[in-house]
Amino acid sequence: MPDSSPSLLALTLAGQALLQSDPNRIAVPSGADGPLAGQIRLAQAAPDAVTQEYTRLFLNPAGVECHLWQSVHAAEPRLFGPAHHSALEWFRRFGAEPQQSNEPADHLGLLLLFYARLIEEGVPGDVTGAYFNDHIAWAAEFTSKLRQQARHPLYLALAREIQSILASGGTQAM
Amino acid sequence: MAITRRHLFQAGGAGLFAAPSAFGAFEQYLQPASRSAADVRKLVTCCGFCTPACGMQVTVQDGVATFVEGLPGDAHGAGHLCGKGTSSANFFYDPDRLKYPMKRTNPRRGLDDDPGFVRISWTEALDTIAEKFGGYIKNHGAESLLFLSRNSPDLLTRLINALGIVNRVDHNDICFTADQAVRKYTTGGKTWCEDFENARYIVLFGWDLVAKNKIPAVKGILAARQKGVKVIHFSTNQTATSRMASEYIPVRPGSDPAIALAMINVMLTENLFDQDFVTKYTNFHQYESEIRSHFAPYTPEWASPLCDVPADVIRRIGQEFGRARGMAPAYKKTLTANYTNATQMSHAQVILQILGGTIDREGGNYFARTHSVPGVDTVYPRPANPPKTGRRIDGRDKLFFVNDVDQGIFATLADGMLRRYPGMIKGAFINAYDVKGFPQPLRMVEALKTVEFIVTYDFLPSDTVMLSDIVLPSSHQFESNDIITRNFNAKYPQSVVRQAVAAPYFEARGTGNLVIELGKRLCPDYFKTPDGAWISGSTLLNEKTKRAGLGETFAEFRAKGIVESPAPFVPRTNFTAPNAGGKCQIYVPQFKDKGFEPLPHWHLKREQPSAAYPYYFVTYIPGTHRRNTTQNCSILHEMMPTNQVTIHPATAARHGIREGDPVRISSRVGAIELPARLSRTVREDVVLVPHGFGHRSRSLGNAANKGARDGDLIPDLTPEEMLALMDFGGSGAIMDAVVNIGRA
Ligand code: SF4
Repeated sequence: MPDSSPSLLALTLAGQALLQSDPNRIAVPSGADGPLAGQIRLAQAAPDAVTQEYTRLFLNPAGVECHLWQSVHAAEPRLFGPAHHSALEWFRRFGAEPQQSNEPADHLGLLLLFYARLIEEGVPGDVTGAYFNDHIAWAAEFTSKLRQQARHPLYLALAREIQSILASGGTQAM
Repeated sequence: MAITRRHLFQAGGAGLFAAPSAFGAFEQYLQPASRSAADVRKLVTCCGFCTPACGMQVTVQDGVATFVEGLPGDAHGAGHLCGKGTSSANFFYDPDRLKYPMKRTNPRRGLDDDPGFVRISWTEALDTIAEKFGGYIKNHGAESLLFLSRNSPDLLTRLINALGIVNRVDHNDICFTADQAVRKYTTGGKTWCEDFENARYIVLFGWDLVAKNKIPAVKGILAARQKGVKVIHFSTNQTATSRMASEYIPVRPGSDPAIALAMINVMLTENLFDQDFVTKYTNFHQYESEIRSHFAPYTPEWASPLCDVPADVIRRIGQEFGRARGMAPAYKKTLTANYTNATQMSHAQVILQILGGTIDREGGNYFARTHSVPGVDTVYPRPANPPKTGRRIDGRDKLFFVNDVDQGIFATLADGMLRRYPGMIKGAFINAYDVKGFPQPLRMVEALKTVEFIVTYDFLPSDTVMLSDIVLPSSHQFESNDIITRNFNAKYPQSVVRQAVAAPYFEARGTGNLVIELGKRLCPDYFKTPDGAWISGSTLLNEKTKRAGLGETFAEFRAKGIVESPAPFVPRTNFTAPNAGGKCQIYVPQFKDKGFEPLPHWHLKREQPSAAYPYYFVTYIPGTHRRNTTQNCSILHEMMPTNQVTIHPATAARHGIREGDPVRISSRVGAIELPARLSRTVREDVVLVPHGFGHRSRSLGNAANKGARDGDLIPDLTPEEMLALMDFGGSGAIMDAVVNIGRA
């Protein structure tokens, strides 16, 4: 487990970029800087390329490059597998549930947003650390695939951002 | 992890929602929890993989099916599920399943071309389909649309008829067309229920129903065997059914009509048939001299060299069968149904059943007694359908009896699209049917490339999906509600609920919803109730439930799970073959009137061994898989990940092939390569390959590029060939090939 906390902004932007194929629907706070925020702003002027790349990478019926759900990265890949139930349990322990009940709870975007909220709420480091181990650490495999497959700079920046989250996450909030 | 209540509700009891999050994104995607613990329940439904619809109990946690087991006490599954049924949840939660509607952006269409799919909304998809299909009908007539379907539920049929579609082919057409065409004019309909438990003698031709795991059939045959009933299995290769039989008799592929004809000869010559049944309920005596003289030459001695079964064995079995009043179930299809002499075989097999006096009798084949569940046209009467005019792409209009039972033909479709009427089909709607289901699938790919606009509605990204312009995600049985009337052990009506144990995931939609939405756009008057409201799937289901007497509402039926209406089995005494005076027809004058044979003749199947292609090619569907649909399912994939070619060791030795060697199998239309499996369970002249493998769609994580397509070796057909071969029932002919082999 890494020994410093990721920034709330990094987690929030990365989470949204994974959940949202249209860059114009990603809220980038004014004054936010960093490569991912910059790439999202740039992409907002030409959103179609991002939408197409999102489909190609994550949803393509002709071959998904990187699956967004943790259960799909398990030894026996499936949707709504044990990681979905575990994520739902974590969310409920803190009084939350995904808005979309027709999609799995172990979507990496949701997992990152929830992680950010735990950190923001000052949940103790042993708890966020346990959550990190349960639901974030697996993303290393996802990230390396994303780095290899992404063609659009936004997704290359996203891969780097998640990589640094993985390197710095897992402890009590800043 | 130790989490205290302080952590949970540290912000005034409202948890993570007490104060807004830093950037507002958390609240956009998560909401306050509706419950604190998982909701776990057990729900009753039924398996959707095959027709027995075995009862299932599904453990559901928060709307996710976590465990599937058989339903104790269920008359069909008896608490058991086969491997496919048990794997339903893994099939359902396949990560590769289609999730959202997509449209193609790359106009280049081929199995290896990236379609450049982009996500679209259902509204955009439906509007585009309606605009395109509506335009084709207006500018080119209804003949310009092709509907290709795994099945055609009543709402889809209503849409097809309302649009005047003449080109519809569905899965039934592969397996059942010839049988249905024959049954209509012999017994009046399908006698597909088998009373194995009470049978006195059983003769099975071909189909490996035991390995297919049809649980009710397996149970029945076991019960018969335990009572000491003789079970004979004629087959080209030794299968699970052969192993359960008392006698397995290897036969030359496509020769089972010769055996059936010779058995009829023995029964007639020695008067070993059910005189009472035949006299009272058939047209035997009206045509007795024609019938007797027709079958006289088909002696066991005549049949023996054709089928490689000794004449005395055929005679003995004919005698035993006749004396015992045995049953010879068609069991949906026989091995021969996959050859061009299927119509003759179906007719011969029905005659065996008639002579045995087993049509709708205990210990024989009977008509299913089912609850009368009305279709949508009964619940909501519709305006008159437009006349069906236009050219038939499959050529079925040339085969009167195929047209007559309103079936289509698979094996001639590519020929129609490429040769007879090139460019005629402008738009295609493909409901979960993969090109691999066709003989010469690559020819079908070429045919589909000539279509301007293809819509595929499917669960998984099949090879057909890769050729499509719009892809729509379909729901699975776990997301659907329906009434399933049982048609296996159906001596009295039994209906089982199929219920949505899970809500539709992602943006999958059921066929009913899709069809209603297309109907609203394309032919609105046909999709309204008498009071002018749109037809709704749930209201329709409530009406069907009520009118079938299964409950006041579908919810009430769902709570019951299974409704059985036990009643004594009353054998039918009035049969419904057209213009037959309530009798079964052995001699079919209607066949003669149309220029065909009123009694079954011997015809060789189309493809015969030659110097260039000396071996019979035989394909089968392994019990592990459901046609070409389940190869990606993780459990079934683990059980059988790919296909191999089974060859007799003596044959292999002649070609210098050893176990595991790569083998090139070639026919006059193509070649495939598979590893060798040597086994004495096949005849020396048979090359055996399981169907369903050879997926090329790279998004099938488990199944892509595993094994080879059997269809690549099987020549497709033309309607002219079918007529020349007297295949007037339009058989599937999905197995008719001869091949050569060599070490690759
Ligand atoms: S036999 Fe197997 S696949 Fe068929 S309905 Fe029963 S459990 Fe399902």
